[in-house]
Amino acid sequence: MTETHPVTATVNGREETFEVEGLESLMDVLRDKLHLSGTKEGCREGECGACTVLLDGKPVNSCGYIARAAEGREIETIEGLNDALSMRIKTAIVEAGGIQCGYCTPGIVVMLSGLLRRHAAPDERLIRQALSGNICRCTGYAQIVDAVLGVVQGKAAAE
Amino acid sequence: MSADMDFLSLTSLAEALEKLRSYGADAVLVAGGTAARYQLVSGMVKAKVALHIERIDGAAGFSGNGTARLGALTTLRDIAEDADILSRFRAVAMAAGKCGGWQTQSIATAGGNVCTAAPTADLLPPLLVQDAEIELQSRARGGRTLGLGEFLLDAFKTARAPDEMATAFLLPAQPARSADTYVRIQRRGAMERPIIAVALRLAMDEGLKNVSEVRIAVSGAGALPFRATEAEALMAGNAPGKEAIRAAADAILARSSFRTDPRASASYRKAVLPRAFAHAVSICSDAIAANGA
Repeated sequence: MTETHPVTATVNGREETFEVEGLESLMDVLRDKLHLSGTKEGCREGECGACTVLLDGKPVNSCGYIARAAEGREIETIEGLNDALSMRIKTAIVEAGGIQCGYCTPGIVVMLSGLLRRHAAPDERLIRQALSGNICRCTGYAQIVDAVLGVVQGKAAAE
Repeated sequence: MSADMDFLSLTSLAEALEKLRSYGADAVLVAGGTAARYQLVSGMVKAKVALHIERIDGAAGFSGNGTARLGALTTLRDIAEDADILSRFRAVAMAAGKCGGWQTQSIATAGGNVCTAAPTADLLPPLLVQDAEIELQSRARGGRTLGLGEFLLDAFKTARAPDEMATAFLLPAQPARSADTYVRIQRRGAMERPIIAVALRLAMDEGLKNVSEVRIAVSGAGALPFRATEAEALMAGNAPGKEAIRAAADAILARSSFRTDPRASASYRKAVLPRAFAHAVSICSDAIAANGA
């Protein structure tokens, strides 16, 4: 039997302890052990961004991150992003028509939450740069970028 | 998957050096793990223990006037967005921001990018044109610094001893009237290794007419990025015009070897390299002229 090791981390604000094998990825733990299947498996090699989660607030590809390295860290998945900013991003993407098949959407929302926490008012160039690691084969990105610009302008108007 | 591999998460440099002393070549260092995890899972790199150094205190950050110190555990995203690095070593920041996507840059480190020594590692050309040194530390012998050119031996091979850890990069101050840039030819805007990349540091004489010193590093044209010293010597003392650029480009090509892979053919690489180089020269010339005006 393969040896496992307990890892304790904060996942979506709650302390969780899970058993991890060797170099098992954070994505597999989230999906298969914590049943947080909103984090999607795309390429499994860190190229498509579908598995993006926030690790201590920073966007990372969970498919390539060693779960044991997450000991004591704070992880946020799409299921946990219910703060006001994340909700504005989700609503704006829906209203702009930024979803077609939807497979990339969780990763994109997580990435954009990470972006807007770090940069309150990104311009289009920065938004596109930030999204460059999230592959969407349906929308062509234009509606998604429009949605983020709308959130940024809405924020500016509200302040 | 190396399921039985030990994994030790470390929080201090002293602890990491102690573990490296006892495990030596049986250990692999893992920071963000963006390269290391793939190498271990695929079997490309074999080790008994992974030493997780991502959370070691005090090994990240950029500091220092004159010669600057870049901590080996500084992430690529932090490098790409650091205003001080952008103004003093622009090509380093540009290269960091072009490596993978933000999800990779959030956790990938300068030390990992350099020590993995992948053939097209983005930080290598800009650090080579800055004559950067790498600082290595071991429990047994203390610290030493090595020029980056001496440190890089071959693709995926460096002069790091099994008990050493890279702790910083030292970047000498740039000369007056100089600029640096990184031009990367790629099929897509991101998430792609470069087909050809050129880092250039150009310095002009007082009249801003002739080149006082130029440093050129190229990747995608050999096993590892290299300094094109013959081309550098040809350009020094001359105006950076079409003739000088063509002669220098020929000298770069003379010591290049190109390969065909799914990203591009060898002949495409050969054709595009002189253009990427000329573009880099014009970016630096324009920047120096704008600063001098």
